[in-house]
Amino acid sequence: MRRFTGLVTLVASAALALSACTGGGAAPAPAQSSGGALSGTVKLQSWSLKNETFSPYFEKLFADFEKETGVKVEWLDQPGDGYQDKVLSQANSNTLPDVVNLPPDIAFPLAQAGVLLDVNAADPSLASTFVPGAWQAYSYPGLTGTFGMPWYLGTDLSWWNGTELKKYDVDTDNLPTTNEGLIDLAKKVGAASKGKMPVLSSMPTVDLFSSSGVPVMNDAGDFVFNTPQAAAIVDQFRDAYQAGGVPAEALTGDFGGNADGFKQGKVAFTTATSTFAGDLEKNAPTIRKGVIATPRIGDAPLFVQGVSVAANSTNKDAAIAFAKYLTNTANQVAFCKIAVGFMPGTVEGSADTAALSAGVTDELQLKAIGIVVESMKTARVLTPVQWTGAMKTYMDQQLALAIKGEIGSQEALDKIVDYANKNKVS
Amino acid sequence: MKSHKWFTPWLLAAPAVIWVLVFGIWPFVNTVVLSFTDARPLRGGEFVGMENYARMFSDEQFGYALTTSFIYMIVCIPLLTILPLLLALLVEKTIPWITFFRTTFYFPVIASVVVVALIWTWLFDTRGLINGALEMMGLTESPVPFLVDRWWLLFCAILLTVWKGLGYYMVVYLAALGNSSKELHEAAALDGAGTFRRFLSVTVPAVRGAMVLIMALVAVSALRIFTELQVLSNGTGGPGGQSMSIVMMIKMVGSGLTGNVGYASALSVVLFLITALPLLAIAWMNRENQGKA
Repeated sequence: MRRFTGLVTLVASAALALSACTGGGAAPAPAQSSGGALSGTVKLQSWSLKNETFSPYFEKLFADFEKETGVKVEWLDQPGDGYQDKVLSQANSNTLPDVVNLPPDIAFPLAQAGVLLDVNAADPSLASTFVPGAWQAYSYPGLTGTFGMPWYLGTDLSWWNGTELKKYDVDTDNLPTTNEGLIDLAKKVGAASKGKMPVLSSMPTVDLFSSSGVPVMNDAGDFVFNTPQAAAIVDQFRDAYQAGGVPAEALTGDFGGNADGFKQGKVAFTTATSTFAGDLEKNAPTIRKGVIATPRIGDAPLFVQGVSVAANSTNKDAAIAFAKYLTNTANQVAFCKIAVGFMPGTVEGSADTAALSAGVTDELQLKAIGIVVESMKTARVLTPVQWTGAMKTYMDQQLALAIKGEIGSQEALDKIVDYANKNKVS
Repeated sequence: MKSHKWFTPWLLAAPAVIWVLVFGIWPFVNTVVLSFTDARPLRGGEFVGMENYARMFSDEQFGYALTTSFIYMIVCIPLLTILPLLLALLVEKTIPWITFFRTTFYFPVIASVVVVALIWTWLFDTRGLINGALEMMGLTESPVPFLVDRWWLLFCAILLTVWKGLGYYMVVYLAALGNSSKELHEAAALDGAGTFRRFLSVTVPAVRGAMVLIMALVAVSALRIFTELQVLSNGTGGPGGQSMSIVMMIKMVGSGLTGNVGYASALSVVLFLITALPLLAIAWMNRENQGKA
C-alpha cells in the first residue's frame, strides 16, 4: 500500500510538472479598482528601441511619468528578430508586460485570444484623439473594441539610384509614377545592362495589389485578389524578369532584401520609409549622392505602430495611464523628432508637420519628410490583418513559379487565394 | 544492515523519469493529441478527427515536401556511407602531415551550418563565384539558377550536407578501422587478394557495424533536413515550395501567432512515423546479417 501511495505521489508530481508546462491556462487577474491613486510599477515592452538614439528619450519620459503619478516604469526592449515568437511565448505563459509595443497585425491574434484590453472601453474619449485610420487599425473584424493606441505612423517612399539610371539614358527628372511605367523602366534598364542592374528586386505583394486598386478582401471577409488586373501585374513582372529587370534571387526574396540590395548598389530602385535617407548616409554614402526620393507609386501604405495594454495586467489603471501618457501628442511629437520621418498618431500631433522637420538640414532628408507629410494625407493600411506569414510564403512560392513562366499568373493567383481562404484565422 | 527505504530506487530514478516525461513523452503525446484538433497558438483546438491527416493527401506542398525529404535520404545515404569510408582509408595511414589532413577534413563539422549555408548562398548566387567562374571559362552563357530551380537547389543543399558530414562520419570509420584486424589483411594479401578484393572482403565486414550506424544516422537526419534548404532558399522552399522539406513545411504551417498548430502537429506525427521506417529497416537488415554471421 505504501509503495502504491509513493507511486501515486510520484505520478501526481510529474502531472503537476507537466501541467506547468502547458501554459496559458491561467485566468486573467481581476482588474484593479478604478478611480484610486496610481502606484506601483508598470512594465513597458518596446521593439528594438533601446539604443543611443532613443534611450535618453525614454529615460526622461519614465522619470517625468514617475514624477507626475508616482508609478515606476520598468523597460524591457526586445530585439528586432523573433518578436512575434517572444510575444507568443509571453502570452502563452501569462507574462505579457503591462504595456506592449504591438503593430496591428501582431495585436490581432492576441486580441482574438482575449489577452489585450479594449482601450476604447477603458477610455471612450481616446477615439477622437487619434488619427482615424490609425485608430481603426486596432479594431478587428469579429471583435468588439479597439486593442491598441497608435503611437507613431510611417509610410513608404520610392528611392532611385539616379547615378546608375543615368548610365542607361533614363530621364531622372521624369521617373515613373505608375506600376506600368516602373515595369517598362525595369525592362529597359534590365535589357540595356544585360541584367547587371535590375530595377525590381522583390516579388509582387498584397500591398502592391492593394495600392494598384485591386480589391484584396470582400465584405464577407474572403480574399478576392485573384482578378485579371492582379494577373496583369504578375504578367508584367514576368516580362520584366525575362528582360533581366528582376534578378533570379528575387524569386526567393534573397537579393539582400529590397533596401539592402539598393545600399549595396545591386539594384536601382527600392521602397523604404523616410529613415532610409539616414540609413544611406551611414551605410552607403557614395550611393546616396545620386539618390532621388519620390512618392510611392500607387496608394501610399500606412504603417502603424502602437501600444496595447495586457488584459491581465495586475496594475491596469497605471498601465492605461502610462499608455495614454506615452502616446499623448507632446510625447509623440518629441519621439518623432528623433525618429525622423515618422509622424505622430494623434490628430493634433500630425497637424503640426513643421515640427517634424525642425532641426533637419539635410536636403534629401527634408525632401523625404515633405513627401511623407503629403503621402500621409491619403495613406491607408494596404495589407489586411488576416494576411498571415504562411500565406505570404505560399504567395511568394506560387508567384515565383508564375514569374519564371512555369504556371500562368491567373492560375497562381487562384491557388494563392484558395490557400488563403482555406487557412483564414477566424 | 538495511540502509535504504523501499522508495530509494524511485527517488534516485525520479529526476530522470520526470525529465523524460516532461521533455520526451509529454510533448510527444501532446503533439499526437493536437494533431486531431484545429488548435492555433493561444487558442485550444476543437477535435476534428482525421481531418488534418486527410488534408495531407490533397496537399500539393506535402507531396513536394515528402519527395524532397525522400530524395535527400536516398542520395545522402550512399554518399555519406561510402565517401567517409574512403576518406578514412586515406587518412588512416601514419604518414607525415596526416594530422593536418585529418583536421582539415574534420573542419567543416565544427563550422556553423547557418554560416556555411550563407557562404554557399553567395557562392551559388547568379552573381556568385561559381557562376562567375563558369562564365569566365566559357562553360555557360547566362548564370545557372542554382538557388531558384527545384533540382539545382536540392543538388546544392545535398552537396552542402555531404561536404559538412564527411569529416564526422570519417572519424566514426577511423575508430572502427582501428579495431579491424591487420593480420586478416596480411593473410588476404598473401592469398593473392588485390586492394579492391581486400576492401570488400576484409575492410567492409570489419566496419559493418559503423556502416549500419551511419546509415541510420544519415537516414534520420536526411528526412529531417531543414537548415541547408531553409538558408539556401531563404525560407521559401524555392519556387512553388518544390524544394521544401517536411520540417520546413512544419515550420511554415505551424509557426507564428496565427500558425495552424493542429496541421503542423499532424505533419510532425507523420514525419515521426516516416523516420521510424528506415530505422526499422536498417535494424532488420542488421539483425539478418548478424544471424548469418
